[in-house]
Amino acid sequence: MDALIGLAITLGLITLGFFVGRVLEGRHLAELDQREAAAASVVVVDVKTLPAAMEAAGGTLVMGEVVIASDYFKTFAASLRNIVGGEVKSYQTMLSRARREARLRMVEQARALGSELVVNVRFEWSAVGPQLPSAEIFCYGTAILPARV
Amino acid sequence: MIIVNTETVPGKETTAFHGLVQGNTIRAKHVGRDIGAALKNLVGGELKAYTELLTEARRDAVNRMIAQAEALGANAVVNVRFTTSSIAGGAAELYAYGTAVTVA
Repeated sequence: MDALIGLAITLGLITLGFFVGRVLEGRHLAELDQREAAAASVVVVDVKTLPAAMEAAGGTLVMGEVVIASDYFKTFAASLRNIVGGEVKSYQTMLSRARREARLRMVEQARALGSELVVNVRFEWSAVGPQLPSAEIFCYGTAILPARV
Repeated sequence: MIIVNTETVPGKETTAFHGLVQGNTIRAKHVGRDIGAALKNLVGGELKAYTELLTEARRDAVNRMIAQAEALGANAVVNVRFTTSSIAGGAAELYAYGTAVTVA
């Protein structure tokens, strides 16, 4: 009986994770599309040098970070995937969402400063969240402040 | 104080080096945050409390680095790097370092 209740709870949580997680993810992806379109004028590169003809008045560090967690369904799907091996799609979408969010936060900071170019961009990953399937993505770079004309 | 992660400040010239400057901070979260995170783990998504904790901690590490640079008489820190490490479950170290310089 206890085992049955346990199974029912687990299945319930997986179903909850699947439906609610999917809705929340869809909402986040739509929001990302919209914000990325709004910030599309900012060029992001991971080289350190400026184009030869470009004049700059200075630069400043900009950063964006996000801690993201997996939902119950994704965790369950990943544990199944672990048995047979191969690409873990559920975590792949989670991490790509987190990278887009962290990058966007950095870009929005640059934009607020009037910058249209962020150079030397780096992504960092760390497992500093709780003891759950989660990760922190940190994105940083130097926003170039345009020369006044 | 100008902070950049490029080797020079764009549009300015480095006139003097003052040496390496650094700042670190180690943060632990409180239990309430973990309970919230466990609930969030059912449906997935951003753990806002953790994001805030790390954002704040990283700004603190940067500010400590800036304080060192100011003490050296620098007006910029270039080539800034960050590292994050987790020390014993639940505590994280945020570390920022760079080179203090004078730019003109």
